[in-house]
Amino acid sequence: EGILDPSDRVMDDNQDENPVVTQQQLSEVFDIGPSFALPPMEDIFHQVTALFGSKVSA
Amino acid sequence: TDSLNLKAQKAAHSKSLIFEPRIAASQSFDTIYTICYEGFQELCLLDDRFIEFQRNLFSERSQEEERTQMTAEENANLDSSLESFLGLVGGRLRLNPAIKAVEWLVRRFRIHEYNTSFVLTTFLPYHTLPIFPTLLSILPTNIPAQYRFLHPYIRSLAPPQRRTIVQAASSNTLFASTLNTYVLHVCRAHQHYPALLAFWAGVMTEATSSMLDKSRSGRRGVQQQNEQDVILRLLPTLNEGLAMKNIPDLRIGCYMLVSVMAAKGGLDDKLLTAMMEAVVLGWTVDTSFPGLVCLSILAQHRGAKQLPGRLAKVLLKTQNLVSLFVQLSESRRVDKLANGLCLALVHRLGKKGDTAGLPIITQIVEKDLLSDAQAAVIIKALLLVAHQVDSSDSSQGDVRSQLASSLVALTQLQGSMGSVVRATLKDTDIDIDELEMKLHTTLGQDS
Repeated sequence: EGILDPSDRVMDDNQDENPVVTQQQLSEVFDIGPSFALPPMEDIFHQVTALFGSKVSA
Repeated sequence: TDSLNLKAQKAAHSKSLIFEPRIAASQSFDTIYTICYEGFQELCLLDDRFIEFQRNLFSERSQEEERTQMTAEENANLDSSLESFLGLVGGRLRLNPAIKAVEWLVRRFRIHEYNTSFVLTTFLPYHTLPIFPTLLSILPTNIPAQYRFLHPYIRSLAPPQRRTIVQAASSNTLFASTLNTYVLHVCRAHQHYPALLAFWAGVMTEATSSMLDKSRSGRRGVQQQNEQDVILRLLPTLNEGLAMKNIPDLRIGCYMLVSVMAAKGGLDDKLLTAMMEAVVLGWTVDTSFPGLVCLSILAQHRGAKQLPGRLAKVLLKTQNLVSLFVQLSESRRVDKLANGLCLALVHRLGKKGDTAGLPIITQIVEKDLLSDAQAAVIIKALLLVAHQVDSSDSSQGDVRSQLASSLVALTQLQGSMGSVVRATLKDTDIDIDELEMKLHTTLGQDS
């Protein structure tokens, strides 16, 4: 049995200090060439999370 | 009808990944086997896991095997061998020997007809290469529902763009689940390769983000339901992906999906907490830094401040935790995660007398990882624990002395954090003289 219980509910809580990330921005990370020429997974991960989790200018 | 049958058989026999239909139609199985077997042998030299297929798919005997004359059980066993071979050959499809070997499966076992979905998914990460339209050109008229989005490409024999595949993954739940299932299946068999995992993680991340964006439109109640549907559909894959050991790329791919879901999905605290625990459970040196990045995003969206005890326990054991936090803080917001950890560690200290977290708390404050307000709360919480220490209880001697030296170190900090600590100390209702006596130390308010 998994630790993520699907019965957990989702709520709508817009904490809008979060940067809005567009599809375009995400595509720019991934759509750069064939799958076998992509950078290592960890690099891609850091690029994606930088879009979502970067410091918001105070 | 016999001549019609013959014609149909001939047409079926002309489907090939390598030869023009006219040439293919005229080839004997003996000829095809010789050519394809050569490719298979080369694969065996590259990776000895291929050798087991010498027994069945590539045996001499295989030349005589006809699906239509096999029982259902024999066919099912054949399918399982075929899927196992395809999973393994997936990482090699840019090599000619691999295509030659797959050609045998097409010609002899008609995988393009009998295993259409599995074959398509195996070739999908190579959708930009000419081999993909070649595969499309030999597919039967009726293809499985999850791959109907390829119809225009089957007609034009053009390679589908990545955008098309992402679009399919976000609008066609059957396709998304086919892709997820395939990746987990291949990982379970330890047949994964970097391009497959990068392809899967990328497509699913973009698709998930797009689905969550779309679920935002409409009435609020409908929004919540849609959002929940998107998340619930992905949870089983994430659960299994995070539980699988020794596949760092799969784990990091799951972290990426979890991060996007947290950042876009508006997950509730219970789910965020469960996800945080799943993130750290089973992480390794290869994955703990991306894991921390993921945790910091989850923490940022979580309402509750204090981290759950189990999570704090794992973090406490993580080597160089504070320097990883510092590294992370250069580009990311790490304050909520650091603060949540400090609160959990203070809680452990007060409840269990566990002093192991004290150096981490001190360093987190010292390295300026918290906001002034967060730091003030942590200092007050520490003072409160100190106040509650029973000075007559000798078993608490260790807690007393370590707490005292940590507090002294904190009050002596340079820079603005030092001022915050000293101001907090002045600010509390706690009788500092009494506390100093209790801790047998001087908290140096005057410095």
